[in-house]
Amino acid sequence: MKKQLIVLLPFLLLLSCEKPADWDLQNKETNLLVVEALLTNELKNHSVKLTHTVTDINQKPIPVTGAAVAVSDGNNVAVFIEYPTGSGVYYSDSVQAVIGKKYYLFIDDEGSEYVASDEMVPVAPMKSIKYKPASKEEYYEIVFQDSSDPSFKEYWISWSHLPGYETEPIYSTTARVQHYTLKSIDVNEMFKPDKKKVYFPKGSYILRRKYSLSEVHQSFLRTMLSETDWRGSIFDIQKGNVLTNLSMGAIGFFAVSTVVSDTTIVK
Amino acid sequence: MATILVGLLHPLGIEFIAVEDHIVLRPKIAKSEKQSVSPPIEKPHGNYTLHGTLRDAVSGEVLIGATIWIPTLSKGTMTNAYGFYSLTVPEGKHTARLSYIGYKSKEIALDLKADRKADLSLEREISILPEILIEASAFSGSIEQTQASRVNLRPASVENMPAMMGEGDVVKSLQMVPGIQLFADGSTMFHVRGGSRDQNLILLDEAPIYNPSHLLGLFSTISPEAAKDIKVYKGNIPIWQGGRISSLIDIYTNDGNMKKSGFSGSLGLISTRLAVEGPLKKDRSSFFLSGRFSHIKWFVQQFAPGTSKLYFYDINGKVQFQVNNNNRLYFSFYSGSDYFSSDNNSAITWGNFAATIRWNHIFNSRLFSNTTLYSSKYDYNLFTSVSDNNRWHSSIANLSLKTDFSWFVNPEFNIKYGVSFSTHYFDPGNYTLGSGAPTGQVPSVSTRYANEITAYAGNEHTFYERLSISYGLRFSLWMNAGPGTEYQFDKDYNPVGSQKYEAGDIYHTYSNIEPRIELAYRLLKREVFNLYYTRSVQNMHLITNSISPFTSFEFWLPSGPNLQPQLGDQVGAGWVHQFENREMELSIDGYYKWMHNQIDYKDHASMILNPLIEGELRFGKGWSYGAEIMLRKTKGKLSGWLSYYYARSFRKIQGINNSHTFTAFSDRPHSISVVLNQMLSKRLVFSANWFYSTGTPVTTPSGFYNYNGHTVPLYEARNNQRLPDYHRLDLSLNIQLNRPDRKFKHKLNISIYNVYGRKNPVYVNFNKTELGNGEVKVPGDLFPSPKLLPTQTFIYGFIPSVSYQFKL
Repeated sequence: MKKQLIVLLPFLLLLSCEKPADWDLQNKETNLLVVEALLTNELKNHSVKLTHTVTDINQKPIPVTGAAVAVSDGNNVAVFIEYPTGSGVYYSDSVQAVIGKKYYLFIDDEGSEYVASDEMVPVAPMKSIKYKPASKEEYYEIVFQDSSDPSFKEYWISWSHLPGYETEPIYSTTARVQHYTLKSIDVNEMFKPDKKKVYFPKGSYILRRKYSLSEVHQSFLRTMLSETDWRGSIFDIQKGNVLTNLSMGAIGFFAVSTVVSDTTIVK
Repeated sequence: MATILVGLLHPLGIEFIAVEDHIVLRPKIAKSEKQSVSPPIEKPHGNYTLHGTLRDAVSGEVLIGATIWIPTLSKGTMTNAYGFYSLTVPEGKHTARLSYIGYKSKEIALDLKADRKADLSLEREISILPEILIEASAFSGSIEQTQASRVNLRPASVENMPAMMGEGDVVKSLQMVPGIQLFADGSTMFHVRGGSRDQNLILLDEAPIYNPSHLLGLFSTISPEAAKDIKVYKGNIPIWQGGRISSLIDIYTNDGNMKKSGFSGSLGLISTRLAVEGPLKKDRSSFFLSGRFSHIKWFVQQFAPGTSKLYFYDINGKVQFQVNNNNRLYFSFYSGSDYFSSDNNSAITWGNFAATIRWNHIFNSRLFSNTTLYSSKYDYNLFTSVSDNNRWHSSIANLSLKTDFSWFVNPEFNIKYGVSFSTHYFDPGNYTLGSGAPTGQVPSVSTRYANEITAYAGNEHTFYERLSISYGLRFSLWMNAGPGTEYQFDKDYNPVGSQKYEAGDIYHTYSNIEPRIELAYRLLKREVFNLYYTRSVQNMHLITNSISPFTSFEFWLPSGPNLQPQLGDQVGAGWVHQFENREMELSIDGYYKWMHNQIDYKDHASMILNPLIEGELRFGKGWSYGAEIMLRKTKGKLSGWLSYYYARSFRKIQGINNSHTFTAFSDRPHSISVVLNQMLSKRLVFSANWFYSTGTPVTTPSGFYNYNGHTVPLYEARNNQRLPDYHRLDLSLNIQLNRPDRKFKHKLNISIYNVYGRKNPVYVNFNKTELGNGEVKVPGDLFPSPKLLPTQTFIYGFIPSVSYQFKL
């Protein structure tokens, strides 16, 4: 139903004009702990990224080092070790999550303890990937498809191996694109502003990963997208802080997801 | 001197009257042309009552708020909304002065030996001078006319104001009235004295208009051509009206010419309007029919070829019958709608409908009643498939019956009382398939019903020439009725149960008493001081967490088990001084307003298709205060006003902004409006409006963090900063194409909206990346984390327009 509700009337685009502006923010040094943690059903070294909030819009995140990080399912505990030291990224040994269990994240940072929990739900198989020729000559673009289940899809696209691109910097020959299917119904999503399109040449590799979303993970993403991808529509909504499942004033999210993935070469 | 004048003028068939300090000459009125005065009804006591209706001499339209004043007795009265007046004075000979803004004042000689009916008329002043938007205070009449916090808008002057795309607009013109703030450019939503946007009641011939917007708010549904009288109450809403806690915009439409047929119209860039009027039976009944139809589609399609349909329209109609001397019937209706659709089979539509049947009855010379049956409806539809009629829709509707009595006991006591009964329907938004098939997992939101009984009684008590006090009580009983489902929530707003009610069940009630009192004291001959206190109750609440200037997916909910009535208490004081030359006025108003049970929304509230919507609401209190200063020049070749107003507004809502006080969206401390009309020649009037206000409060980040490639804002406080100050200059030139004495009148209006192209932002955001050509978009590639920049969204730039108006 929501897919049907997503309409974009061309007339609405005429109503407003958005331009870059100079703006002096009332910045405040909050220095809150930000957690990016994702545990999946893949048997691998999972990571937890800890940073602090910053005051400027394009400021590089400040890593949180020397914290104690662990994930538990109630019976087993996986300890995460910072690597390299000073990076703020903590890795576990090779572990995997399973459906039906609730996982807890524990962080001890300079004596403050933070806890979060999430539960893994299954993910439905992905539909075949779709891409189409772009308006830019000899380039293609992804055709995003909503999935039947709530999910988050990430596409890593690379064409650095193609002739003519070998010497280009990695950031101009690699793209990271995301697509979300949430079951919530929001006006700001229906009329979300246009995204900058990503084009890639024939022969590009596309690594596609689809993550399942628990109810609380969906709620988090809904609020995060309201403040990022969906912000600035002509039916914009009141601003507010993004939800979190972290305790004690930390922000971010600890997610546990089932993952399916595939790889495609653009033909 | 009188003897000399009579001697000179009588042979020429001219008579004279003294109007204030002037001698006015006029052709002698033959006996048959004299005002209609019924045979006297002898009564054995010393006071007699003159009553009747005061009308426009040419069209027969009743005049609302005109004054009948007997200077020697310092007694007078005003016509009510139906032109009725009643004045009880001692037996004997008196001279009564009739006056009404825009009309020639007139004196009539009375020799009262009994009660009598006198239907009177006034002639419109043929003036080439520009009309001023806000009427002057009528110091020549009774003291009640200088009511604090009320302004009368002149519909004709709204037509002449500089306007966006040349579309004269009643709601947009309110921006120039001190104390009223438009939500933003491109919006018909407005805030009055720090109130919220749902706290304004717009009545069209006594029926509410729930959403006065066309093209999402670029224009309003209230066309000035159809309006006869517009009163704006910014605080002390009269005792016979209620239901909103901030303001009342009370609009009466044209009755139609009772004497001869005519038509008028206009042609602009956006729309075409045509109106016809005339008598059905001369001097007994009339009709008025007006239609406005947009022709904007071709223009939009140049820029947005995917637009398949785009239109709006308004139709106003009215018929009135004089049944007999004591009974008059009115039937009026308004229908307006918007429709946008695109090639992908989706569409947005909304529409208002309002209809009113009114019966005026004169029981006797002192008792007048009006009984009104009215109904209003507002529907909003978002079609996901036009062809299959699959849509999300919300609506609100009412059916009401009320009777209002005016008992003119004597010039000192004017008692008003009445009662009303309403039934209300609310659909907070549901998704339906045209086939009637079940919508699967889409949740169903319970529709609501409520009944409302109100009763009021009040008195306008004039103690003597200098002092009058209006006081009264209004009682409202709000009853939630089945069928419907209500949910119960715990203190953390989690649902803990639900209760289903059957049709006919009354499951929750609220009763409230609203005291209102106003004191007016004439300090000097042309100086009045007002003081008032008013309490208002609001049982219907607009639910939206949108910060968009455009009308979107808002819907209404009734007061109920989870939603208490909004209460408003306002105290205010006003002072009006008219300068000796009577061309200028200075007024100062101050107020303080308390608003209880104010509604806000938890962060990222889920508003659409949410059966548990009340769990998303948060409640608290609000307060506002301010002062409004206005210097007006109401006559002469140069007219207009300069106003400054200081206004603050705050909210304290549990769970919002850490439950701390924050500035309300309507808080804009400093505002200045300048309105000038300069007659350049007999046919040319130049108008200029300049408006300034402090920027709107906005919520901006105090910091950021990175999550999975996204730069996420972190907010420390609600409405912590302000958008840049708003200001705008509009100019217009009205060119009268005919001589003033010609029957066919036509003119050209050339307007420039936002002359210096000020980009007044409506949003500021921090989630876009620059494309290199000045265009900005949400980043699509998150590797590496994209560089973001602040952006501002604005609606209008420089907009020139031209429109042509005609009338016969």
